[in-house]
Order: sequence, then structure tokens, then C-alpha cells
Amino acid sequence: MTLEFHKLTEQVDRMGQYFAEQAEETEDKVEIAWQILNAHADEAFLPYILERVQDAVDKDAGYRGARPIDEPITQAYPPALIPDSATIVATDGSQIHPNRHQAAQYYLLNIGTIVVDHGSGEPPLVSSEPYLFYERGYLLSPDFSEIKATVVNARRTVAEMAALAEHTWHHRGDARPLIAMLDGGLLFIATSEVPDRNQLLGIYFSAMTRLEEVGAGLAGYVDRPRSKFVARMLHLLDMDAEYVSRNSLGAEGRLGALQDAPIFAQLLHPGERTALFVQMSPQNKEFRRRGGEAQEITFFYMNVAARDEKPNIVRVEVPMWVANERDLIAEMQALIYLQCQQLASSRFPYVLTRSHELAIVKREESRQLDTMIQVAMTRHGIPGRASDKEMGKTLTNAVRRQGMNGRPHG
Amino acid sequence: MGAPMDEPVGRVLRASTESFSAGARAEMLNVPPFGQVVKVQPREEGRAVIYGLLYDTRIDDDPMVRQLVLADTVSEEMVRDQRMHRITPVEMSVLCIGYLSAQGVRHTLPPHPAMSLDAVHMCTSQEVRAVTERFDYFRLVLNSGMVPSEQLLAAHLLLSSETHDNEQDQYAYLVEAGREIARLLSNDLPRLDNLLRLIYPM
Repeated sequence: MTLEFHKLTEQVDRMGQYFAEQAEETEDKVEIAWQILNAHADEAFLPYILERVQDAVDKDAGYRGARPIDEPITQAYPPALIPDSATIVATDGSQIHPNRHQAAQYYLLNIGTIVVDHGSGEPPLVSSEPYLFYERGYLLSPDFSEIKATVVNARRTVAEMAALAEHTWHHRGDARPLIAMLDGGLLFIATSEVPDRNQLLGIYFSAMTRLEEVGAGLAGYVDRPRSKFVARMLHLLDMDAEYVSRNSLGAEGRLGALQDAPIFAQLLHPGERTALFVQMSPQNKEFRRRGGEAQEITFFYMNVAARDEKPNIVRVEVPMWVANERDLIAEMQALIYLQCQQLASSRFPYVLTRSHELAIVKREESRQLDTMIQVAMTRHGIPGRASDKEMGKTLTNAVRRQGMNGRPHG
Repeated sequence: MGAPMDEPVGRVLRASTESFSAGARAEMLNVPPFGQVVKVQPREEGRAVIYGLLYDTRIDDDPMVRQLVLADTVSEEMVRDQRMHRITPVEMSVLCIGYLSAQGVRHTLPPHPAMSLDAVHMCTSQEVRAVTERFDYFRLVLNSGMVPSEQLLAAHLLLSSETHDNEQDQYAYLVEAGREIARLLSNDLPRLDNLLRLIYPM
């Protein structure tokens, strides 16, 4: 049975109405946010803000907001002029998760990388590296249960960072600034269900250290951020210090569930960024503890919209060693903005679009790999056959695709 | 005309006895011109070299290329990335006009179609002269429903005439070809008139 759209018409209409009301509410909350921001706009308020944040931390009040580094919080910071030359390395990964209905248990990571010699007119270097994991040690947890998708995702994240460091290291002698980009935040979070968590963290930090050693501008690019770090800071500033507690910080307050992006949409012109902030989270504390102060994760928001478009706010995460180099930040800003202007209607860095394209494993390719594995197993005398459920799904999906396209694939 | 003759200009994507399509990278430095004689060099012994006329070159798009086309500024590195690395091949369509037999070039459809991934080469001047020495393939071109036959034959004759050493020989070749066309199109004067105008030396 296909989706019966006529039964959804009314629900979809109600959904549209709901979002319109939400947008109105957001506008009101943004106004309140700016009242609080403006009350603390002067640079002289910075020590006070830092003191309030420290107070919340000391009270162990579960503060998860932002902490400004050293810049006034209501100011916009323009990018540098676009550098004549630069090297931009970007990496992304994709995976095939283990599927117990396939002929054999395995998972695959595929890491795509692009290296752009900006200003040279030369074609970029592109590559993708697939890694197949099929041994029991990779597929089973210590209690012999099958690993979950989150484990594969954690290993992919680490493989992305390791590949980024490897490629950037090889290009350390190329044109500067040297920018190393990933799609997503930089805070690697592996839950306790990841059995090799500590080992993965070790690899992740080694890769970051390698990037620091070559002076690379490491950046994690977060498109359409939903984060509330600054809104939480404003919530903190909006209450008297004596009332700060887990309960009061956890409550919504006047700002409700307001996210940071709409707040800064009012401030930033295309290409500009906000002040730099530190994420106050247990994960970042752990980063600082294990990797040192230089690897603490900081962030800024920037507007990547074209000149005549509505604001398009993204979050860029950088480690402290990058945050301390403001000239590098300004050049990075200029290059990210340029990258986001390469496609007509998608304000997403070209290098990340391409590294994603290099990494992505299409469904058809996944099926071909399954066939290759089945053939290899048969060649070695093992019956390789997908489960009946899997074969049934393949058949029904094929029928549906034929129906949609009017003709069979291929 | 671009790449050295021993380098393939593309590889066969799909084929029938009558025609084939070849794919090449979008970096179009060595795509042969419309009307050029090309050949398919089979990978295995026992299959004949096939000759054909290039009658169409297509450059496909995809959503990303469409986005780049509409963008205000696209850097040179991105353009070259698209052309060198992305899977948007230039597709060349070729009408078969003959094959190489033990007795020489035969102007009939080949006994077997080209095979996928066979290399497609531009013919050397010597090969073009050998293939176009006789005009038995004109009827095949003029009767083909899948090609712009008059435009194709005219472009092909003008290109082929250039393989002759001097202007006098080139002129003589075109006059000879014109006579054959007049014979074939004697009952279709508008087409004949059009084709003769197209190949008339400027």
C-alpha cells in the first residue's frame, strides 16, 4: 500500500498553521534576547559575564551554555579579504551498517577527501577510501552482543578526522592558510555502548594534535544549527545570581526554547561572524582534560547567505588553537563564505558537498558489494545467501521503483 | 585536432550494428568534430575494426552542474573539478559506415556491433583517405533516419577533403563526391541542392 496523501491534507495544513504560530513566538523571544544582549553589549561587561558563567559552573548547576572568550558579544566581525592562495582539505564519510539479514555480517566505512589548491586554477585532488570490517572483534561487543549503529557511526567519525589529519599533513608545505574542514561539530562524543571508546578518543586526539602541529585551521561546519548555547547564556544573565540552580537553569524562562540562529540572523551581514564562544559542556571539559587547553572546542556563528538573500546562519566550531589566531579565523571566514557561494541555491561549502559525494555509498553500490561478498563466499565453499526477508524486501522495493519510474532500472 | 591519434577519444558505452555511443571525460580537449571518421578498435582478435561518422556530441548535466551554472561566481578550480573528476561524461554518437575486412574497407554495416568499453579513436589522415576512397557509404548516411544526414555528410566531406594534399586534389575530391550525391539524390532535387551548396568550396 502506498502513502494515501488525501488522508494527510488536513494534517499538513494544521502543521503549516502550527509552524506559523511558532515563527511569531520566535520573533517575540528574539526581541527579548536582544534586550538582554544589549544590556550586556559593552566590552566592560565581559568580566561580569565570565564571572556569572563561572559562578554557575561552581554551583554545579548543570550550565550548558556559552562562555565568551574575549570579544564583545553583540559585535559582528567581518571576514578578511579572500586570500589569493590557500589550501582547503575537506573530508566526509559514509557507512553501510551491519545487516544480519545479509549473507555475511560486516560493515563498511567509506571516507571521501578533496584537496583544493585555491587560486591555482588547478583541478582539486579527490580520493575515496573504503574500509571493510568483518572480523568478530569489530562486530561484537565484549558481551558478545552485536554492535549498534552508534558504534559504527563513532568509528566513522574518528576515521574522518584521521583521514583529514593525514591528508592535511601531506599538504603542510602547500599554500597557506591551510584549512581543514569536516561536516558537523568537532566534539567527538562516544557513549558507553561504544566498546573501544577510549581507543577511538586517543586516535581522535592524535589526529587533532597532528593538525595543530601543522598549523591547520581546523573547522567543523554545522549547517542549520539548532544549538542554544548563547540563548542559555542569556537565560543565565536574565536571572539574579542568587537564584541560579539546576532547577532554574533547566526551566525555560522568558526565552523558552529559543535557538541561537534566529538571534544572530538580526546581527550578521553576509560573511560576518559573531564573537567566539566556548561550549560549556561535560564533553568539552573532557576534551580540555584529555587534549589540553588548545583542543578545547570553541565556536562562532556566521551568515553564509548571498548578498541579496535572507540570513543563513551556520555554526563553525574550531579548537582553541585556531580561535587564538584571529587572522586565521578571518581568512577561514572568507574562504568558507566563498565556498558557500559556489552553488546557485545551496549555501553549503562546495568542498563539503564534494567530499560527501565522494564518500556516499549508493544503494545500488551496496547491493553490488553484497553480490561480490556472496560470490567470494561461494568461491571459498561457503553458501552465501541473504535471508528470505532481505530477498523479499529487495523484490518489493524493486517493484515499487519500477512503478514510480514507469520502467525498470537499467 | 586535440589528442594524439593513438590515444582513444572515448570508450564504447552502448552499441548496435547500426550505431554506437562512446563516453569520454567532460574535459573536452580531444572530442572529435561533427562528421569526423572514427574507428572502434576491438579488444579481442576476430572482431573487425568498425568505422563510423560522429553525428552527435552530448554533454549531460546533473543537479550539481545546474547549481553551478546558475551561481554568480564559480572558481576555476571548481570548474576543473567538475570536468576532471565528476561522472558527467561527454557522450558521442556514431553512425557505422563500414568495417575492415581481409579485403580492405567494406562499406556495409559491420558483422558484429562494437562491444562495451572498446576504445574509440580518431582516424588518421591515411585511414580517412582509405575509408573515403569510395562513396558506397553515402546511401547509408542519406537513408539513416537517426542522423541529420545532409549536415552530417557535408561536414564529413569537408573534413575528409582536408586529408588530400593540395587544393586541387581537395576540389577534385569534392566534385567527385558531389557527382555521387547527384546520382543518389536525382529524384530529390531540394535535398541535392541543399547538400551541394553545403559542400561548395568557399
